[in-house]
Amino acid sequence: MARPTSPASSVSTVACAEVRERLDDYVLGALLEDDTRRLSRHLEWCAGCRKELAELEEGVAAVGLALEPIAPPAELEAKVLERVVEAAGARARERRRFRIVTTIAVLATFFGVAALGYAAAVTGRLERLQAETATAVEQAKVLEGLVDAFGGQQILPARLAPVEGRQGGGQAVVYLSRGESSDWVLVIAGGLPQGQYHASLVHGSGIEVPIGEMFPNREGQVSAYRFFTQDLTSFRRIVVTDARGGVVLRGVIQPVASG
Amino acid sequence: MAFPIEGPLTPEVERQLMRDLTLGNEEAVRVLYARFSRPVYTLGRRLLGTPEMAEELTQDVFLAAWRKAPRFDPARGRLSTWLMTIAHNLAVDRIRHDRGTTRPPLVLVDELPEPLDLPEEDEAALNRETARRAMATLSPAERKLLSLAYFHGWTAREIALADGIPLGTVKTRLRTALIRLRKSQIKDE
Repeated sequence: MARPTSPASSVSTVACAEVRERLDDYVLGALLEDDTRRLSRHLEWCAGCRKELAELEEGVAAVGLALEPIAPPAELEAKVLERVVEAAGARARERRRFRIVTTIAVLATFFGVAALGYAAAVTGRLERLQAETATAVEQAKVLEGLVDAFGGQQILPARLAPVEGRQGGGQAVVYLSRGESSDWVLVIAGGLPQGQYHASLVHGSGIEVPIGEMFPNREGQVSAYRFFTQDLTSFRRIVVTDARGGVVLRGVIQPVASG
Repeated sequence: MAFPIEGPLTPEVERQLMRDLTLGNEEAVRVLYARFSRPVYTLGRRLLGTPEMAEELTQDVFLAAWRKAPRFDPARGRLSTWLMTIAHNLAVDRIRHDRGTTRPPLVLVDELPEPLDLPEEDEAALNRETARRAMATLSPAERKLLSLAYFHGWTAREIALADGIPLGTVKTRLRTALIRLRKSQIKDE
């Protein structure tokens, strides 16, 4: 039997009477996508229509359950398991990553202030030094809060100080995800002359791993962050070098006392 | 929580099963699969034809179940109904998507085998027996309409146009058939 052409629907809004009129098509999956969406929206809040739908759904399910069963191939279970577990894992990773990016945004704002305060302090302005002290106290509180919030994970700060003959200062934070392949590093510095800078992590063995290139804005501030799939536990220091490779800032990565 | 592989699931267990499924808990996936893979795969074979398409449908159904699990509410209906509705909707979507391509002939409700004399012991077999007995209560006209709608994804309007029956009659027969199926099931429980 040839399938006749279905006329286009012109429904824009739906009321109970119309929903119930079309529930049989809805429950049999015979509606066009737009109509299905409109009815679904109505059914989300209308308990009366939903009750009627539930009754029809049981009827539809009965047709499927009445079919003479065919055994699925043995290997299908592993495929289903893999797809669901993988999808659930991906969603969990995405949520964690979103939380991390949010945290980075908070930290970037926070450490940006700290870095500016540091830069002002090293230029000799006492009031700025006081502001920096207050900021440092706040910083400790925020970090403690973050350590608690991240549970088993760990956030390690590093204060970046200028080497002899250089100016500027900053903060860095290393986030250890403890085996979840989502470690990251954030570096923010201030008071730097214009030019190109590189931030790097230094491993306990002396090997350097780049974090990123940085160019100061008009206030001399720079920032960089990077995600790593490798574990950053064994990295000990952070250095900021200039375009010629000379060390400008450096700092030791230290555990946070959370108690 | 350990989930029973056999026997009816209480609403509380169904709810917990869906919670664990949302988290990607392997045991929850395995239990769900053990209980429902056969009717879902069967539906795929009957509606879509090939083993490959039925396999694909089965994977998609369990993935959709995982995605929609937070919205499952045992107060609104049983887990088997919910899953079979997902399976049927996905299969019909596939039929519509693939319309025009060659598919094996579809099985009509009229071709369903008669109830077995010695029903199997498991819950799925009991569900099947109940559903078959319910199917037997339908009139030939109702079975035909249901077959076109369920297995071919035709709308009531399309059936009315093709069969030369008033739309209202088609809708009434379809709805009556679905309600009768449901009532027969309840009576059997």
